[in-house]
Amino acid sequence: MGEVLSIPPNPQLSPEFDKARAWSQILAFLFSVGYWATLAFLVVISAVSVWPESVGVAKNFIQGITPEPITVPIWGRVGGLGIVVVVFVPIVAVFHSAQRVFRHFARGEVFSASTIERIRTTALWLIVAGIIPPRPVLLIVGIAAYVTAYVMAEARRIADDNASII
Amino acid sequence: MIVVQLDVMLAKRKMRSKELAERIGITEANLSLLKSGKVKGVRFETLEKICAALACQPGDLLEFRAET
Repeated sequence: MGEVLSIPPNPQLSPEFDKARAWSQILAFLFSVGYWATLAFLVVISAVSVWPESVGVAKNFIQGITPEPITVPIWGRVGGLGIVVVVFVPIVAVFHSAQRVFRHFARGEVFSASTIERIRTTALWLIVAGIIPPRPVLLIVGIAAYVTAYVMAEARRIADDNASII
Repeated sequence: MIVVQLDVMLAKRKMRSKELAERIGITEANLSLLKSGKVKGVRFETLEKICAALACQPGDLLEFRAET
């Protein structure tokens, strides 16, 4: 965690902003953990679904939760895998985009074009995750994040315009 | 289009860009952008300072040319 907080102070920015950068670094780390954990879960569950015989832990891993995969026909496994992928891919994408957004914040890039684009991408994935399956909270957060990205893009455009007026 | 005639006025007044930049309090880089017309606009405040420094009117610095 010490490494997570090791952000060199920027003399041009206020100490409060340095604190915000440190928090952003922590959030980036947590989203990164979420990303890798969800991705690993997705890979394991995919392997178990399609090819249960190959995974030694498969039987114990899902025993009592789902029918033994070895007894499910291949089309049923592929169908189950499809559902898992559709549900979890947007979550993985949200974690991936969010960790990149907070890495941008940690570097002090708040209104840069790439940061705004990342926020927009995160928002779109949140909306997708909120639609399949229906999760109103994710959907509302996604729409709010998309509007925020739009407002930030407009603010940046106005700032750019002002900068080119002497 | 609007053409900036700052170069002409500087030549008439025999003043260097550096001196004008110092007098009106903007950087030489910004003055250069203004001279080449590579800006989206000029603040009235800046225009007023330039006019005061060069003893001229805004119309001496800006010229409208119809696009052909």
